[in-house]
Amino acid sequence: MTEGLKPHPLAVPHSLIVAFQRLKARPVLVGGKAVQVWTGLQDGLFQTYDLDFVTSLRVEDFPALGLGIEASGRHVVVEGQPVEFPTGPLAVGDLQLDPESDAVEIPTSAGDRIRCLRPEACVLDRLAQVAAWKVAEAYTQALAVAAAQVAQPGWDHAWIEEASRKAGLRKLWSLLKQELERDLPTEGALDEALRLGWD
Amino acid sequence: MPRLTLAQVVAVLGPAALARPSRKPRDPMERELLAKGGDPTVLREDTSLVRKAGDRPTRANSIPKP
Repeated sequence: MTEGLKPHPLAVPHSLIVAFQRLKARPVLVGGKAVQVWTGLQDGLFQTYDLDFVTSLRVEDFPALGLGIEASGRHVVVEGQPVEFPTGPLAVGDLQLDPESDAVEIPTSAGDRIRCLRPEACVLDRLAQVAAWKVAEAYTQALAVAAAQVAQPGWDHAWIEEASRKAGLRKLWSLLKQELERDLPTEGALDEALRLGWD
Repeated sequence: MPRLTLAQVVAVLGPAALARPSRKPRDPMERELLAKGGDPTVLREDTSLVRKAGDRPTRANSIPKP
């Protein structure tokens, strides 16, 4: 559940929800769409085209269900929406996460329920892209998720301190925390984040 | 309580990030699929940066520090 957090409902094709139910799967939404859930932003830097779910399901599992879901390479296409299943397990960098405690149920815009990476884990997921690949927009997305959710009563400060250390992202999380205390974000911190890398 | 707001992040760092080429490595087939759909990040990506589809960022597939 999402007590004390503020998710924004996300458009997820209902037939995909039905497919997950028939396949008895409890996938976890990650990636750019999870950023949309925790920021409510969908334009510009926050626009993304595909849904990413971590699950043990394979693309080949879907077409046989008869729900009109097509396989296309590593994606399935559901009502025109590409869906990808990134390589599991659920993790941030080299830190494996718990799909139960590190994800929460959120509503879709159609009134269904899906599981989504917690916002604290979503921040670290983005910072892992900064550490590994120097992705500038991922730093901005991490800061946006934190700015939107860190003051919510459900934000788990202790979890992100511990998880950032275990994931090798303590320096990047510390930098981001400093930015949260400023009156305005700085491009200097963005440049510093792109330089830092893993701990 | 943080002083920084979501609106400030978007206003200041949004243009700064969008002004830079995206360095996200991606599987070429996925890049093609997302580009056809109009994914704006894909359109700014350096296409020489590739990775195996579905792989998450780890130390093992990191870009070395300069």
